[in-house]
Amino acid sequence: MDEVVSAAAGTACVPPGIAVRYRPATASGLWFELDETPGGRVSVALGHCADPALAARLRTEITPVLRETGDPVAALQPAANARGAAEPVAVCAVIERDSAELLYSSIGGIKAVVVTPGAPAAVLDPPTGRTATMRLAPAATVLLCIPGVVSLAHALLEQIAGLHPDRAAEHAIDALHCDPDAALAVLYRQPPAPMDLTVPAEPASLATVRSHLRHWLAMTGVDAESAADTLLAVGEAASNATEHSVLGAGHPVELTVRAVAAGTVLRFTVSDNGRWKPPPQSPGHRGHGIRLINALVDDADLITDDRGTTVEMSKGWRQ
Amino acid sequence: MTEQFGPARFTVTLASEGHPPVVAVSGDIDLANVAEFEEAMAGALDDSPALTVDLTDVSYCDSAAVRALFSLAATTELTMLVRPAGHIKTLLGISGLDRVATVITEE
Repeated sequence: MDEVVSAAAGTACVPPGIAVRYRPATASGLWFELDETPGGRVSVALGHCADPALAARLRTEITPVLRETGDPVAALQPAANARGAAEPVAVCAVIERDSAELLYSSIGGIKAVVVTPGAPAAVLDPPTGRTATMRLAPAATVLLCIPGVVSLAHALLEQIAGLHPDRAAEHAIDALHCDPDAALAVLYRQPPAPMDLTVPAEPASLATVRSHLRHWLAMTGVDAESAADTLLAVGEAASNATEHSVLGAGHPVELTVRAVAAGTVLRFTVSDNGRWKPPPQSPGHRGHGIRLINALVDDADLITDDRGTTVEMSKGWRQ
Repeated sequence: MTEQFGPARFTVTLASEGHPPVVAVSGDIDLANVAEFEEAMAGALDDSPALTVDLTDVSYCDSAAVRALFSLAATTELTMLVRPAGHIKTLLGISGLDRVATVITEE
């Protein structure tokens, strides 16, 4: 088996939330193109052809049309015209980030699948020359692959729905068996719904906060380094809240952590309804915490008033 | 779901009673268990002037652990073993702990 090659999120050419894995056989004729406009329209084109020259030609003909028109059927016309020659297969998908709308079309009977946590998998199989459309739910996963999702077991698809996009694409490529041994999986993950967690402001709650946040971050598909940075920044803010806010509040103090994926920016709010008092033995400790937070995220603000303390943080998708 | 997002269980063990003694920590260190971490380090130290703390299996730690390590470094020759990449190395750099203690990166 040839080596599996990854084009993971975090590399310059892969838009956020997308993972790609492929297994090249010699002169496999596999190809894929990814693109995102400044307006948040993600274009995905992929295909396979036993004739590598025809594969290369289809790639150069399909990609610019998809990018310019956003019309999968129009973009796939060259592949439709080439049917009968070397039986090319090709897939085009367009995802509008703002409206969460997916457009899908294919040549050669390649089906796509959309897996939404807690819902049955939806198989998209529009007739040639037609487009399937779907509104993606939060955290939905779109899987496009060659030789096609028909060879993937239902249990695997359910599993994929809960994994980081990179891990999910690895699972998919491992499960794709074909001859010759060339396979390609392109996976798109719609951002998850905002996380909104309220726990008692006490040290024992910190593990709960991190557990929820780790899962949420994995669902966004953010790279491992950014995920670790944000886990530490939010963990630090939450730790400060449990340590200092409880003093003198006179009522049960709660800690609320919110996380929102907005386009290519992740926003976090850590707030408590306590009254913060600096610990006398280590003056300026909170300053140390804020300095740490500032070094880890792109933007951080600390707001303290009579009702409590709020730390707002944001971190852009690393490119 | 096969991926485990819960915190790895916190353990702290005396890995070696040599000179210096070595304390190995794994899992998440936070405000809830940092006292246990401090006690284990103090216990391992005994009368030794130096201590090595192996942090390579630590999955999370924040300034709670940094403060504990800073106060140890004030009176002890402290060496920390960390992974070459990851948030612990970042944390040691930002906090300045890497300027008062020896940091050794291990695969």
